[in-house]
Amino acid sequence: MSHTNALPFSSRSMARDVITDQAPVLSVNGLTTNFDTASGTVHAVREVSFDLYKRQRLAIVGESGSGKSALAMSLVGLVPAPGRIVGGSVKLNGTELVGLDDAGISKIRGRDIGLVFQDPMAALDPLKTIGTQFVETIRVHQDVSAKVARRMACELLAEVGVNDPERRIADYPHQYSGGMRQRVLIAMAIANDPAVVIADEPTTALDVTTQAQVLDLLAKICDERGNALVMITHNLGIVEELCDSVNVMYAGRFVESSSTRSLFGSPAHPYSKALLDCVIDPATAKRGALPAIPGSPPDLSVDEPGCPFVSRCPIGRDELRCATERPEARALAGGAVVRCHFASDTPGDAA
Amino acid sequence: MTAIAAPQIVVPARRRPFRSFLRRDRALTLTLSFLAALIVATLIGPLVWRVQPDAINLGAVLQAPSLGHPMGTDDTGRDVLARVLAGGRTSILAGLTIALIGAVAGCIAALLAGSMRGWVDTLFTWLTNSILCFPAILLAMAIAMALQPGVTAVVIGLSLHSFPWYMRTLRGEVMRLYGQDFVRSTVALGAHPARVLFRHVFPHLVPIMILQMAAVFGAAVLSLAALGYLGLGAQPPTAEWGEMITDGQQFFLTGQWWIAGFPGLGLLLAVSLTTMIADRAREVLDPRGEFIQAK
Amino acid sequence: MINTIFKRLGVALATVFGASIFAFILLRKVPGDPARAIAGDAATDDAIAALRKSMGLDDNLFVQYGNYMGSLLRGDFGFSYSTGNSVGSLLAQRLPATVELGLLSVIIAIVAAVLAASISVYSRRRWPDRLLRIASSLAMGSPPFWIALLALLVLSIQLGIFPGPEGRLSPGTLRPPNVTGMFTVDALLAGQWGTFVNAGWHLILPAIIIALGPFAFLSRLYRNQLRGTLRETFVTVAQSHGLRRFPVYSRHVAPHGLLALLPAASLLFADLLAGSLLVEKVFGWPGIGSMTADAIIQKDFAVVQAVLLLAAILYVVVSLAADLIMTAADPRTRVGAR
Repeated sequence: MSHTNALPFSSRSMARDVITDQAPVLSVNGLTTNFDTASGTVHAVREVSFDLYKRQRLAIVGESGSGKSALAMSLVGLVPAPGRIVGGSVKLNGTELVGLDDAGISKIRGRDIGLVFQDPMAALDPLKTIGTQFVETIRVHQDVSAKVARRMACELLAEVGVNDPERRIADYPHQYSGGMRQRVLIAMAIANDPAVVIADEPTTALDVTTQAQVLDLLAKICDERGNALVMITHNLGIVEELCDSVNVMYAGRFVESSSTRSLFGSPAHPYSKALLDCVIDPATAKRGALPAIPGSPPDLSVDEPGCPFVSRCPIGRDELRCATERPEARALAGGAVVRCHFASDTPGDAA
Repeated sequence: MTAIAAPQIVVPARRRPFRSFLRRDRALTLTLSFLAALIVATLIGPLVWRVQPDAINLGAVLQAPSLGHPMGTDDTGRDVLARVLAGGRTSILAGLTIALIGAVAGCIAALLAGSMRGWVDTLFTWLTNSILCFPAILLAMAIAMALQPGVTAVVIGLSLHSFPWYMRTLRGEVMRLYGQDFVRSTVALGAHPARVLFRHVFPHLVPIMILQMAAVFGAAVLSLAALGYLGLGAQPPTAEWGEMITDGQQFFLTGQWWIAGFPGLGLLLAVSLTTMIADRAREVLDPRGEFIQAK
Repeated sequence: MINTIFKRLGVALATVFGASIFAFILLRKVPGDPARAIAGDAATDDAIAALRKSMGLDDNLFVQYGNYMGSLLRGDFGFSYSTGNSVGSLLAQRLPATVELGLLSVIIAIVAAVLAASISVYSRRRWPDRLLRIASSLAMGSPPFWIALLALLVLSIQLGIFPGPEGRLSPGTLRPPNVTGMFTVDALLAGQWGTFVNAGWHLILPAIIIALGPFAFLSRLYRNQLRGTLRETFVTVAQSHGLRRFPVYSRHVAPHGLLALLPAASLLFADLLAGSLLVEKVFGWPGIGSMTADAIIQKDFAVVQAVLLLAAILYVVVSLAADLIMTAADPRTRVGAR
């Protein structure tokens, strides 16, 4: 079943071999992040674990407020105050990142893990030229002269599709369009050849027409350089087109982790199912109300004993067990890992 | 491109009763209660401390603080505590009057200029610029000289200087609001302009206005004292903090510090506490510092 | 860009025009007869009538305004009845002392405000920020004339660290040759070290007290600006590229904060003027502030009017300059979009 319009992703036709027999590049274990606000502690990320391998493209999907961005920021120690990592570990090629001081984590950011942000319009310092910011980014990690760094920057700008980079590099951010700024930011994120690229909703703020181009560019660049990609999004179309495996995030937890094919073929968790039901296929869409998941996500500052999805769940709504006992992660026969007492990956069985 | 029709997360807004808010913010509670105590003391103090602030007693001049005169007496034997209380009343009432007159006038001007635009706006902006380019104390001083030195003249002068200050901030906010979708859609639906103005624009100005009133109050109390110090504010026998400092300054350096000391302390406390509270309130009402600039 | 400059210039001129009308009407036509005020209560009606005529007070308002502006443009600020000098020469004589004091106050206020706010924001701890807030609230609430008295009592009379209220130099100290009129600068130019130290020693206390108010509002403004900028996405992005905290702060956060201080320049100026008006007298400082304070007591309206108008013009000039610098410094206004 296809949930998407055809998008001109060059990546789709490319053969992709994820190397999973080696050690993972990034290994996350029990990562937990809280925000201590005046009205209570918000548990934004709760015991998240996953492994990321070389060349892998991993998606993290969820509604707004499910903790996706907090997770992305936790990976590189950039959780904004009053947020803080309270537990778990993030290992990059075996090196622990949680608890590193500013000097230590700064060496990792940009060099080993590159980030692409949601809003390219706000992501560049408006008082400095693209060139200044780019050269700065390169010279933090590489011992090259400003002149060499500028030449490297021009090459990278050309690679991401900026025309006439020698002239455009002297321009200020406001002289670039949103799509162009995101290209520049992608170029800056990969300038130091990081092993992992984390893209946090990189196209949400862009025009629909430029979204596909930017995604295409991101996929192409990661493929050519062999970076692993973590794509954070609420757009299932992107996931199906671009990613090998998916983690569905709900209320700060991964409720289902599986391969893209298995998730789209036979979603196991009732929440994943509901999400897929909400995807509208313009070709077959009927008139009338848009499908939506009834109810609203739980308050993240309350740690309820049962399953966080219970009040919205078609299966668990009336089950005592779902209301009182939190489902632990368990692996299903098809390989998916699910946090649900009743999930199974046999289509039709659970629902 | 397809996307999950994602329901927006709505964190249920919790009721935040004022009392629990205060309990959490100890510093605010402390400053608020200090200021309240100060205001209450100056307003009802004269009822408790029944000594006439202008009762001259040449038999008890320049007495140091004692039980009979907790803040001592001045060079004509007047009780400093009674005068500090009376002076506080003058300052606080004048400060409130200035803050209120300025707020009302500034708000009307801002609503007119912001909603009518065109020449009305140009005229008001020119007027406010022409007034704001005088330092507040100088303007009030000139007005007090032109009229009759005294609290009334100073209140007129400082209100005249505070009104453009309100107007400038509020006008920007009115214009911003008229550009916002919720106002534009009400206009597009054919709501009466007055209704739009009072039901949809005005309520958003209130918190900003309150914050500015606090800032204006503090500045006004200080300016009033400064003019009193220069001899243009309250005239004897009215007790006023600034004027009391002038009276006491020749004795201050020779050891009778209490005559100018206590009114100065009252001034410092009243204005600093107001500033601290306004500061804290600004953080709650305007966390990003968009509306109110430090003055 | 050129358009912007002309527009700003037009607004500035219109403002000065409005201010001059204001200053003129205020001191000429509002109740209270300036001639009577000058001649004194004992003067006969005839004497007052003669004085009115000589002052041109019998002409109609427009003619009076025209004459007034005309003489202003010729550099004639009127005549000070209380001192028997022309206001112009009084100003010229008093200006250097105030400028010297004001400059030092500006430097103290800006340096202290930027340092204190930077430390409080950069440290990320609670207590430096609390300390700054309390300090700036106290500075904002302190009546400068009272603090001046207090400082004199404690620091100069009791502890003897600073000189008493004796003006710009200790009695008997050699006056430097008059070049700029600022004693510290002139003394340096003439190589008179003793005079320089003495003049500087007299400057510091009044300068710090005048700087209190400006420090309070600048430090708040800068602190809020820094905290606002720290929340900007580009700061997180710079960190994500591997920049450490200090470079992010010095290269991407502080410039935005400093740029935001520019619009406050005119307010800073008004604060300084008000400060010197209230503090100079206490220290016996022979500047514009104490001159104005004396003129008020003497009801010398020509002096007050000149000071009022000059203050307004300077305010407009300062804000125009700050505005233009801001336009030139910010690439978003300097360079058009492509």
